[in-house]
Amino acid sequence: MFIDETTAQRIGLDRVLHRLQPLSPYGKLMKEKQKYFAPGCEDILRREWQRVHSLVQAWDLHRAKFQNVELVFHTLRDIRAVVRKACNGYVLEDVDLYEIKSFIQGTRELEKELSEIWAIPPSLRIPPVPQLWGRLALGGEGGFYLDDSFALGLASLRRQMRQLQTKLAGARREAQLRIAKETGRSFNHLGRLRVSKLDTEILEQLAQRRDLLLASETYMEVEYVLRDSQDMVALGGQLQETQQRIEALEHRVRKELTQSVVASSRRLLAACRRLGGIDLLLAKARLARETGGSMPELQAAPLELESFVNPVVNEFLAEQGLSFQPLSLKLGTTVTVITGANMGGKSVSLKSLGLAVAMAQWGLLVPAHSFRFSLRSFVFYSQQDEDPGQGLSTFGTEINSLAEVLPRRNEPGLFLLDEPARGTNPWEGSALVKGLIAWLREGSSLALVATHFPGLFNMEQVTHLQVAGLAEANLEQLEDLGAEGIRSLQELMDYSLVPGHGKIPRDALKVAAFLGLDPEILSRAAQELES
Amino acid sequence: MNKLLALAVRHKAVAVVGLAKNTGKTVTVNYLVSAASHLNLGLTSTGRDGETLDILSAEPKPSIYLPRGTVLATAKDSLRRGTARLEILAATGLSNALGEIVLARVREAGTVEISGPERTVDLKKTIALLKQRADLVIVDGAMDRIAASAPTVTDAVILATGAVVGRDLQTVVRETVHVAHLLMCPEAESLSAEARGLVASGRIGLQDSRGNVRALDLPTAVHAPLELLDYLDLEHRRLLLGGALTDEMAELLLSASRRNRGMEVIIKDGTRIFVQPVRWQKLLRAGVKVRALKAMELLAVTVNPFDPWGRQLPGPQLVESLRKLLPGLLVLDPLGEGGS
Repeated sequence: MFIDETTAQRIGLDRVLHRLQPLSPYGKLMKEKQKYFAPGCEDILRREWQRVHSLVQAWDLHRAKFQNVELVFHTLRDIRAVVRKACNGYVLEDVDLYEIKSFIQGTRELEKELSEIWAIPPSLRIPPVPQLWGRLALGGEGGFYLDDSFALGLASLRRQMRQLQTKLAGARREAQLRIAKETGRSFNHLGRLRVSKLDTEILEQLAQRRDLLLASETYMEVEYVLRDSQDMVALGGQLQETQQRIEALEHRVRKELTQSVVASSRRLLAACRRLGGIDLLLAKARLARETGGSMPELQAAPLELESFVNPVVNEFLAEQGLSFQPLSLKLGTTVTVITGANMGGKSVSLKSLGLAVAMAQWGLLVPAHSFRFSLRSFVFYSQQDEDPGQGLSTFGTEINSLAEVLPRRNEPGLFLLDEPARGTNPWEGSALVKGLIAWLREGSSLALVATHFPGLFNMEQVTHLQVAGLAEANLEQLEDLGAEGIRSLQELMDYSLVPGHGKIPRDALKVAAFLGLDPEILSRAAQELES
Repeated sequence: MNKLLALAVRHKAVAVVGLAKNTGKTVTVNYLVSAASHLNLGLTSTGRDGETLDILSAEPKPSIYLPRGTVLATAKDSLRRGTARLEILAATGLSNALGEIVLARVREAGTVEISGPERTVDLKKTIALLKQRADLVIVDGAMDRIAASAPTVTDAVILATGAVVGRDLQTVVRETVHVAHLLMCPEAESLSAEARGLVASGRIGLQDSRGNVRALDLPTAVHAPLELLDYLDLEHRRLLLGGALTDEMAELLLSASRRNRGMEVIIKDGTRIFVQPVRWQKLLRAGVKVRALKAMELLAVTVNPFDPWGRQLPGPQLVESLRKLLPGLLVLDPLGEGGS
C-alpha cells in the first residue's frame, strides 16, 4: 500500500483529490481507477507530468477554446451500457441510437477543438468511427429519427400510410357529418355521439341506422360510434397492412444499425477510456492552475523541495486573509530531525512534504518552485490519536501503528514522524526516539522526524533542521501587542527551516505568554529554568 | 376557433389539473390537442400519465393522440409505449422513475405515453425547453400535483372536475366552485419587495400599518402556532404566510379576527390554500382577506359527468350550475353534446 487512509487524510491529500474534478462519467471513472505511480514507473510518470504541464500552458493561450472543450465534456454521457446492450444481442431503440449518435458527435467536436490547441498524445486520440457515423447521421445532424433515407421504400410506404389515413379519416368525417345532418346530433372529438335517454324520438331513429354502432349505455345516456362501411373497412385493412410493413422495415433498419454499433464497439469503448484519460488530465491541469504547480524532477538524492505552498493550509489561511509562507526543505541524509518553537509549523512541514510526494506520484503538478525526488513506495504519517475502541492510549496507538509500518524501512518509502513518543515521560521517550532514529538510519526509507526531545540531532548521519521561529527583534513587538491572539503570532513567526545549531530552541514560554497564560505562572516557570 | 383553445393560446404554458383522479383531465388534454392541429404544440405531464390502464383503478384510460409536429417531454421508458413515430431531439438530464426525460417530436401521428418530471423545479426546466420549440405548452398535471398550476410554473390553468368528486350534483358543484375560487385568489396590492421576498422564501412575518416588515421566528405555520395570536394586533394586520394556509391556520385567524377585523393574509398563490369550504366561508364572512403574490389565471373548468364505476350525473345540469356560480368562466363538457 502506498498510503493508508489516515495518512491521506492527515497530510491533506483527501482534500486535494476532492478538488480534482473530472467533468464526464469517463473521467470520473478514470479518477477512481487511477493508482499511484510506483518506483519503476518513472518514465510514465514523467510523461504524465509533461502532459498536464503542456495543458496548463495551452490553457493560458486559449481560454475560450478550453471552455468549449469543458462544455462538451460536461454534456458527454455514458454510452457503455448501450454498447453492451447491442453486443449482448438486443436491438437498440431509437433513444439508444440517439445516445450513440450524440456521443460520436460530441467526441468529433471535442477532438477538433482540442487538437487545435493541444497536441493530443497518440495513445489518447479518439478512434474514429466513420462508417457508423455515416449511417447514424443519415437523417441529418442533431437529434435521431429513422428518416425516410434509412431504407429504400420507407418513404413510399410512409407516404402510402399517410394517404390511407387521410382517406379513411375523410370518409369517416364525411359519414359523421352526414349522420349529424340527418339526425341533428353531432359527434364529439373522440368520435362518439352521445344522446340522453329522455330524447326517445331520436334514440329510436338512431337505433334504426345501419351506419351506427351502440358503444355504451348508462341509465341516462346512450353512446353511438360510427360503423365503418365496406370501403372504410377495406381502407382500414390496407392501412394496417402498410403499418405492419413499415414496422418490419424499421425493425430491420434498427437491427442493421445495431450491428454497425457492434462492429464499432471496440472503438467506441476505447473512445470512452481515452476520453476519460483526457478528462482526467484536464482536471489535473485545472487543479494546477488553481494551486499553481511545476513539474517535479526525478533524482536519486537528495530530496529537495523549494518554495512549496501547501494548497490545503493555504486555502484555510486565505479565508482569514493570511497566506502560507512557502516551505523549502532538503533531505540530504536518510534521517532528518526538525526541532523548533511550539506553533512553529513543524507538523505542517511534515505534512507538506508528504503531500508534495503524494501529489507528484498521483501525476499532479506540485505547487512549488521546484521539487526533486525519487519515487517512494509508501508515505506514512505517524498517528497519535487515542483509540478507546481498541482500549489504546495515545502512546499505545502510536506504537501500534509504528510497529506495523517500521518493518518497511528497507523500501524506498517516506516516514513522517510527528513528535514520536510525546505521550510518555521525556526520559524514556527521548531514549525511544533515539533508538528509532538509529534504527531508521540503517534502512533505505527517508525519514523526517519532528521532536522537542534534546540530544537527538547530534547523531551521525542525521541532519538537523530548525524552525527559524520568533526572532529576538520580534519579541518586543509581541509584548506590545499583548495577547491579541493566534493571528499575530502567525504573522510574526518565521516558519522557514534553517540548519540547526545543536540546541533545542526555548520558545515555549514566549508562546505561552503570547497566548495569554497568567504571567505569575510564567515567572515561576522562568525561575524554575534558572535554578 | 374552439373556445377553450382560443383562451389557451393567449398563454405560453397552460396546466390542466384534475380536482381528483378520473375527472377527465386527459380527455381535456386530448380535446385541446385535437382542436390545435394548426399549432405547434408542446406537451408534458407531472409524473406519469396517459397510460393505457389507470394504475390505481385498472380502468382503461384514454391515451393521448398527437398529430405530427407536436413536441413532447417524456421518460425514456415511455417512448416505446405508443404508436406515434418520434424523433429524439435531446436528452434533458432530468429524470423520473421511468428514466431520463427526453424531448421528442412526433414525425408520424399516433398515441403516446407522457410521463414528465415529478419535481417542480424539473418541471419548470422542462417547460422552458418545450417553450423554445412550441407555440403553446400544455402540462398534464397528475393527481394531487396542483403545484403544476402555480403561476411560477405555468401561466394559466384549466381545472378538470367530475362526478367522482362528490356523491351528488350539489356536492360536486360546491367542491368545484370552492377550489376554483381558491385558485383565483386575487393579487395583493401595495406589497413591498421585502414582504414579497419573505413570502416567496417560505417564511412567516407581519407587516404593520406603516409598511414595516417583521419576520417571525416560527419554524412552520402548518401547525398554526398559538403564539401567532400575540403578534396579530391592531398595528399588525397583514400576515405574511410563506407556507400553506391550512384549516388549523384558518381557525386561528378566525379567532384573531374577532378582536381585530380587517386582517389580510398574503400567500404565494391559490395552490397554497387547503381550507374546507365551510371554514373558508366563515373566514370570508369574518372579513379576513386572503391575497396572493401573484394571481393565477383560471381559464376554464371542464366537466366529466361519469365516475369510473359508471355512475353518471346529468352533464348539462352540472355544466349549467357551474356556469351560474362561476360567472364569466368557461365551463364545458368536452365529450357531451355541444362539447365540440
